[in-house]
Amino acid sequence: MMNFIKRQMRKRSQVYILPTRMGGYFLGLISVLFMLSLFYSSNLLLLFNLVIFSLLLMWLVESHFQLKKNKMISAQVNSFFQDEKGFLSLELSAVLSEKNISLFFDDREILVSRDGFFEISRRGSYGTTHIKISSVYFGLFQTWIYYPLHLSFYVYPSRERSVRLEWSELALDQQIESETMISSRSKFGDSFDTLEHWGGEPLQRIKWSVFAKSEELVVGKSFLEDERILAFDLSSRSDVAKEQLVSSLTADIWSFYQANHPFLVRVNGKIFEFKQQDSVLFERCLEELSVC
Amino acid sequence: MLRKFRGLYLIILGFCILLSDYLKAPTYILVGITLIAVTFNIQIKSYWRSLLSIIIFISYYLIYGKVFDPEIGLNFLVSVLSIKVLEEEERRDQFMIFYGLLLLIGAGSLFEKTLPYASYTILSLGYLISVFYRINHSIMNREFSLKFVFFVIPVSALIFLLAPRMSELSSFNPVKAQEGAVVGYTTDVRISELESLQQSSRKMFDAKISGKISPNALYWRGNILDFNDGWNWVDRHRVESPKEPHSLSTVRQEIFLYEFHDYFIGLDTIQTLTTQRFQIPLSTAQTARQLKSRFIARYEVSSADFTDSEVRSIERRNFLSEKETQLILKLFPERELKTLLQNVQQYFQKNQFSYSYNPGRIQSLSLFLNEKKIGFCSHYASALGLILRAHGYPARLVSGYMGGRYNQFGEFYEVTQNDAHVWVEYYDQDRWMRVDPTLWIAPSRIELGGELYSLSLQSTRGNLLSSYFSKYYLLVSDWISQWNYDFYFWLDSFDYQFQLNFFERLKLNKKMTFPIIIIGLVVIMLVYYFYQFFFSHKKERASPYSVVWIELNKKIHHFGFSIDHLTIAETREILRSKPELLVLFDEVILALYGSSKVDWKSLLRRIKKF
Repeated sequence: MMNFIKRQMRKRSQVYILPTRMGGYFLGLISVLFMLSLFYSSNLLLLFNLVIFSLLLMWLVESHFQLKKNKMISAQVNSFFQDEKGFLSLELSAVLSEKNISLFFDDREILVSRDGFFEISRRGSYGTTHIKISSVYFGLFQTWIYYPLHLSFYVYPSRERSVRLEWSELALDQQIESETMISSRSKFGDSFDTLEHWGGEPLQRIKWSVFAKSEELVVGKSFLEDERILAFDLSSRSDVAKEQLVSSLTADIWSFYQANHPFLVRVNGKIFEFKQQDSVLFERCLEELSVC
Repeated sequence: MLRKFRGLYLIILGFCILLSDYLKAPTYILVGITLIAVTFNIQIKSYWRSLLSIIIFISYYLIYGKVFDPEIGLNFLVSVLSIKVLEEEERRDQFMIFYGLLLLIGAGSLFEKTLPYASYTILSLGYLISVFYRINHSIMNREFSLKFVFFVIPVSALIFLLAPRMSELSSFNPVKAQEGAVVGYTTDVRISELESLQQSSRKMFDAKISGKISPNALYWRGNILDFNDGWNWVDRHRVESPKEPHSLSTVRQEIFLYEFHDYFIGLDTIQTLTTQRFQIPLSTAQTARQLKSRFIARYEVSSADFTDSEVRSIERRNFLSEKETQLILKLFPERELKTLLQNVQQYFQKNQFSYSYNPGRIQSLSLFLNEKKIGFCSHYASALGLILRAHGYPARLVSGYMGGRYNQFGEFYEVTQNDAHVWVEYYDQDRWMRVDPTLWIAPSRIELGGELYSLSLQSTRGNLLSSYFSKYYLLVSDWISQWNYDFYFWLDSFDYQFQLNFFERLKLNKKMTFPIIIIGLVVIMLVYYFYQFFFSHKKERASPYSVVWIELNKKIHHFGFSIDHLTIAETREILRSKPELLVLFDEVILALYGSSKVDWKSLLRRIKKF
């Protein structure tokens, strides 16, 4: 029943208000003063009580408007590792006091901390449906509102090396047969020094001088020193628990990527070949690992 | 920490000063300790604070002799708040202190009905609200003032003026005749229990009188202390049918009570009592009682110099001990009424009986008559009452007030606690006659009235300053009292009758009260919502680049492009068909991600103009 009510509330973008405990005490105080003024027929006390009551009404209206007029300017969640916390970058149009935010994934609610971090314990692909923003105005009223919010992100496997993986060594130019080969970008045939900038790529890598000349956003390639490439097929190990395997593989490829060592992994029937650092490709590789 | 808000302590201090008549020594001691602790930043441990609370509570019980009482509650509230402000403050404590002070200020208005207190209420409320804003990390700005003037005040006034007042139910509750009631020494006043009379200038009521009246005639009738009210006097002989009462003159008074009394007060002898809805003739055989739940503070009284004769019958019973009866008969053997009264008067005067507010403990009538020979009005009235009863005359004590200072500015009488008095009534033929033995002992008490008599005692004690400044003090006090009277008369006028007249003037049905309140509230809320929606919203949190990005997005959408979830490169690809827009887009990207300083305003202007 409660779930049904909550689902109905999420469908409507209206502001809900309830008094907090302190707000309840305030209402109690007003009631006591009101009863005293009636009992002792004191007009001064009645007037005093009405002024306080009107102030409470005013704060109630302000609580309502604080959220009602609030607009969500931007919201973004970047993918993160399972051993990290996710970060919600949220920009609102209004100042909210004692803001609390929750993300909804269908019926599942995850609380976001005051500094924007949240935790998800399982790897995978996630898509938010709603965001709930609540605020406590003056400690008296708790208000909340639901906004539809569709954000997609991945929770990559944790980088925990619990199993030692045996990587095969291949030559750099060795051909690999596969139905799906995901390799680095090579759109600009002549220019092997640069790659097209893809969304999500660190902006510091953008070659602004190239942009000034050609108005193309490109990033620089990094060349590898070693001529050998390490390869691993995720489906090759069935004796180890899946999670441990995936975590260990993630840890390995992370360190390889950081060390700029060429490697190749086969995940979910797709081969990801890293002869040079390619952040976007790496991201896609991690995404495949997240959902494998 | 709330300690930094020193004004909160000023609120408690101001409260203690204004309600000094109601607060006791333990409360002042505790407030003093708190102030010292706060001023010198002394930390008091929590167990000491708890111990203090327990000690204070026990002391109140010892002083008052009871636990549940409004005055005890007030003292306890002040004490608790004083201790509370010493605690380490979590947010919850801050809220509790705020609520506690609101309750304190509100409760004080039940005890103190003066203009200074009303002003104190306004100032304290304003300061408390400002503190409340600050502890919630907000500020009271001009916007708050506008909302207060255009929302809070109209809503309060609307509800205050139109909220239906309870129609006056019958408050008159004459004491019913009790079967087998004992005539004699009233249980309300016992000679042996009164050791001293507490003097206080606490105002009891104001009274406007039509016509002139001699100061000696300012006897304000209150409560008949004989608890059977004279109804149970059963005589073996049938009493003659009462004669028609005759009136010498009628004096009308408007009475405004500052404190709850469980009986109506008016000039002796009350003939008619008129409230907003009732006009009831009263007889002197009964006390017109008030009920706390239907307390009527303002009413009119019509008094006349006669008493009626609603006493049904009289019974004389033995109520004095044999020893006391013998003493009285020995000291005053004459039974004839006038002679008896003269004998008693002469006895008091020749034996140099004196009048004092602090006579000490007098445990019996014989001790009073033979040894002590000192007391105040209750002693003399009780003694005379017993003497009359010993001789078979029905007598009763009447408590009320005698005196009152005339306020030349407002032309009304101010009666204080110092004017409290007790006198005797005896039944002679068909009337209850008043006799005041205090007049024999201390005639100045009757001539001056209690308040002035008390002041004169202070000056005779050598208080030179008091006597020098008393004249000017009284002048200023009278001027302030006049404003008090006018203010509270005006405030108290908003009653049931006022609403009736108000609706009659507007030619509206009184049943329209609630609909008018609701409509009025709806209108005010709509105006407030309108203001909130159009004039009061905060945009300053949005960063300049966010504002620019939002504007750019609007423009791009305006031209039919959708760039949600696209990369920068993909967006540029799409915008190639609109080169000018692409230029703007690149500029914004450069501004967002570049390192050079950006003129956001001019960029925003250009985007808007595009």
